[in-house]
Amino acid sequence: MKTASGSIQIHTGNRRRHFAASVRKHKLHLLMLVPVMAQFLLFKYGPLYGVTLAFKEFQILKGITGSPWVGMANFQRLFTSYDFKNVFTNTVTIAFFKFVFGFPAPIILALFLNELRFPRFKRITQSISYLPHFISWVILTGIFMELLSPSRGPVNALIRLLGGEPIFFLGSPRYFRSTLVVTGIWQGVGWGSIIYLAALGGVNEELYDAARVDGCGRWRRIWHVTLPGILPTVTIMLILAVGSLVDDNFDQIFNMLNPAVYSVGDVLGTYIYRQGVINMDYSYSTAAELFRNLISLVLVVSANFVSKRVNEYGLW
Amino acid sequence: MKKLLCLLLCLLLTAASAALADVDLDAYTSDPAEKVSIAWLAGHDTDAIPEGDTVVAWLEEKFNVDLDVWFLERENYDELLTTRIIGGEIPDVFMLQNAEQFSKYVKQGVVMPLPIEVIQKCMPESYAWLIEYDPGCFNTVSYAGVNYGLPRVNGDGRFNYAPFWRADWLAKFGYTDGKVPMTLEECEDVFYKFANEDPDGNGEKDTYALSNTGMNPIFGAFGALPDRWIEDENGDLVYGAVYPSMKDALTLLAKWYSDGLIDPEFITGENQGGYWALSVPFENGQIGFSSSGAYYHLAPDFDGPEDEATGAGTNFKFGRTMRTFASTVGYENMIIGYNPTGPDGKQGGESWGLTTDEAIVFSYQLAEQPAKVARILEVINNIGSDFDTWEKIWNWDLESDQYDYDDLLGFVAKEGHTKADEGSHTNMFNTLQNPNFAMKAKPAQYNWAMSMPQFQTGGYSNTLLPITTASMPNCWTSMETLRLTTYIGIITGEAPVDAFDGFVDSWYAMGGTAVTEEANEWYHSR
Amino acid sequence: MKERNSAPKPRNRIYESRGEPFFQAILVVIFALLSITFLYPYWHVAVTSFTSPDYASASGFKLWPRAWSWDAYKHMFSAHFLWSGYLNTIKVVLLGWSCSLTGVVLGAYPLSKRDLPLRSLFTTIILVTMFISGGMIPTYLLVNNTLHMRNSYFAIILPHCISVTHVIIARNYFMTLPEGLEEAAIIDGANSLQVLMRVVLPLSTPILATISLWVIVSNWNAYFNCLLYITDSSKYVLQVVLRRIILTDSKEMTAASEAVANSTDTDIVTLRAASIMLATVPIICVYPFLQKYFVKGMLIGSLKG
Repeated sequence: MKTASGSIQIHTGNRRRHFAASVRKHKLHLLMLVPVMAQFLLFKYGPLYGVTLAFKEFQILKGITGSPWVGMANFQRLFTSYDFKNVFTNTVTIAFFKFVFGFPAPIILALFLNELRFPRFKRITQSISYLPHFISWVILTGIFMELLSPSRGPVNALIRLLGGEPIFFLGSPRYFRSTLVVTGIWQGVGWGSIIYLAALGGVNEELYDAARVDGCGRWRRIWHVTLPGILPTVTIMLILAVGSLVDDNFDQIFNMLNPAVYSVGDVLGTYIYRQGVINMDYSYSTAAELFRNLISLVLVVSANFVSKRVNEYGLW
Repeated sequence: MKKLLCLLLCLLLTAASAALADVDLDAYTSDPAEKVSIAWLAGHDTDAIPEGDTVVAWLEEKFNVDLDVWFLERENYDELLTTRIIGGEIPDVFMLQNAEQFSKYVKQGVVMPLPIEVIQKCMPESYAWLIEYDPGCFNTVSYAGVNYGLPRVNGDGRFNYAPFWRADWLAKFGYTDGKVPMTLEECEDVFYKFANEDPDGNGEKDTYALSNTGMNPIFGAFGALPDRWIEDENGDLVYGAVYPSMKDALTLLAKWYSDGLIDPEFITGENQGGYWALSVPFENGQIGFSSSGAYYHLAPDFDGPEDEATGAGTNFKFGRTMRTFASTVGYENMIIGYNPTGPDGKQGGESWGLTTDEAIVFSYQLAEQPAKVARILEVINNIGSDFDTWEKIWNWDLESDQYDYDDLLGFVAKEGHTKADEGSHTNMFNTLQNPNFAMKAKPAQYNWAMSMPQFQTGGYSNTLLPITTASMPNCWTSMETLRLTTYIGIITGEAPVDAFDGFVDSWYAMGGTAVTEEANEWYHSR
Repeated sequence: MKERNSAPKPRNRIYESRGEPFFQAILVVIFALLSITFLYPYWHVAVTSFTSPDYASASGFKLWPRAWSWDAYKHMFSAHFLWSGYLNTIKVVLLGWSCSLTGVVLGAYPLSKRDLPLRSLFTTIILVTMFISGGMIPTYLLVNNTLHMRNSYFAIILPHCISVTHVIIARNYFMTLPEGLEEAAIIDGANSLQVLMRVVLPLSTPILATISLWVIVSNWNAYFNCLLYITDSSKYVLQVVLRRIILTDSKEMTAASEAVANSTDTDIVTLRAASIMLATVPIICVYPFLQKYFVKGMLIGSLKG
């Protein structure tokens, strides 16, 4: 293994010499990084001073640098407002359920697609599964209102047929979160499985043959060959998913939310939208964004830490 | 040193305000011979104007101006406008879409004060009809006693929303020959029959009386709409949601809900994701009473049946909402009713008010260029009050003689006439939206609405408090959330009716007291 | 449903055991049902786009148009700049795709080298941007006022062309490639760039295809930066053109302005549906072309031994 050859045997004495040698060795690699770093420094780090808006009161004519400082006032407004606690709890709860059920769903879909033995059927199914990704939530919500309607919807017709009482999925606080989770998974599962299908394409065929020779059944084969094969991808996707836990799917919730379910469905995104973005309060929305990103940062760093302990994969 | 600086500043400020106080009206005169370039955004549009448009060229020549017409997409208007301004570009004259934007731009000094005297001097004709149409129209464009722009009026605002009924259902319960329930009591009686006596005759109990928008006339019968400011008995402003009689309205609605009169799906709205003025339960025959559209959505087919072969007559093939009903429940089964009168004789539905909350304002940079302001006002005045100019803008065509005027259809292009320009950019230049002219463009609809007393019973509009008060930004969203959840909770029986009292207390405690005080201070200072 | 047949019988690749046909049948049924639910909304939109406006707003299941009409498409096709919109979008997509893919590979490959000097510094520089951003206004000032890129497609593409997540995912994939292959190439005298082009990239088609798909779709759908930076209407991208056509659906519109904006006998419901079809059909067709790269994947078998 080449990995051990470079950085491990560093000792204080020959550190500089070693570094120079390493740079020489990776000359071309470092050169490749130049345009990438340039892009990041120019377009991501260049505008970074805009973050100061979170601590300022934005004045159009004075610009970002000239606007007056207001300290933590924007954050104060965010945290002390009447429904912040409820909104925060909802965000965490919905994110938790979306994560627990939504993260494994595309993996499972990809695994089962992989087991399917009819290539044409498999391809068509795959292609169909990601269609919902291309339809915006405004339209999807309209369609769901129809499909889930207690009086006209086919879903409730089925429930009635089975002897149940019709359920108002979008209007009852008891069912709203589950509806969000299920429809969210339904919309994203096909698109989300693409990365895992790509990873499955990378699993060594020989390992399957070996497993077959060893007499492994399907489930053991999946467990011992397929899953370990895509584990690096799963790990990275998991860490990224943890990081985006708090950016609740705004588009979905915004369109599906109604006053009857505010108590369970109002999340940071919709709340900030109503408060700040609607009348373009840049300072306020920058502060809210910063708050959300800080939470993401903490989540990702912890997820990365855990993952590094469990297996060797991680962002850093 | 610091004191001296303070003093100097104070002096400067007084000087500035003094200068502001008496306007040098003579400066607001433009020399017609001097070509003025104008960055124009005094309206909205759905698309940018292509190069070489003849109407724009004509305007440029007529007023000796050089027009740089901006276009910003409406859905991201504020974002795009703010960004451009920060980037160093600002239109000379532009539209702001609502009261929040207006007060924000004014407070940040982006727009210049525009004294009424200047408006009277530079656009006398338009000022006259504006004041005649709505004496309070300048309220929307003033801030702390100073006027900052021009209002945009709304010709549709003189008509209130009116509810509509299923005529065939009503007929079963004795309302024939165009009769409709007029009072709240009569309505209640019919509503119970709609829910319980199988109006659609299918033998199943699957109908309701009303859904979401049908509640507006009911609230209106009790003297307010929950989301509108109203004037109370003492002449003070009070927010509809906390108006005491709303408790009676909620009591009634909660009773109706538990008795199965209200479609439980009212929560997710009547249009169900479709066009905003549609009512899905109504078109499906689930409810018999609704108020989902304005008058022009409910207009009949003035032209009679469409000529399929030529496609002629499409101009007036029903209002948008009526068109859907005509093809679902049948046009003959529709009847437009009255907002019912309540126990104290009050009535009314939603209304847009005579003046929109859009404002036409001028860049702060023009404060130093009164001559340019005068020229811009002249252009706006001419389009707003000169019928010949307006007609060309409306048709977006310079060849006025190629149009016949029809009492039903308004302007009709002569056979074989093709316009020089594709598309129409009327909305970008029809800055003031003169309602007297607009009537001429759609005579059939206006005359029909004028002949329908249903649309003139009065309604509740936003115009009583067209501004954002100082403490609103910090509390209003939460207060609105509380209002919506409380009202729905009470109606659906999740909360007792007495929760209303607790709601009123928390509403005032959350900031309602301050907002109401500010609102009244503004209202009484006008 | 455990497999009882444990004897190694690799005789038939398709039916490995007696349980297999049954298992496959169940899978087919499940996937067929799932496909119907995945397909329905799209079908609904397609049907709406072909329905006469008289019936388009009517609710209910939409399996077939109640009355056929091409009006929505006629209206869309008569719109200004529709075709140039397609052309411009394709330009943006191709340009964006080449920039992004190059950027992602150039970023990910060096970072996949565990002994790269300053590796963690570079990684951190990239990762930090996931959690903190300056926002729209400073980016606008940079692109518009400093770089003067107004009306250039680079203004749409460059600021966002390298996604952190894509770099991380690609880096991760490169790290799982067996090192033996690269070393063999280096011994044969290839330099890093040649190794990347000749050995690494051919082995990475699945991940390159995935990232390509992501990048292509996001560039295809992007509209906001076009609103911000493109003021010349002949340069509008498709999404902007389509939004313009259907933008009249707004509650603030008065009767007069609605009449001006909506002079034809189409309905916002059918127009919106048609615009979705026009926007999505071409991009959906991209996937089958990329699909084959997902299954091809690595040919590592040849290396072992």
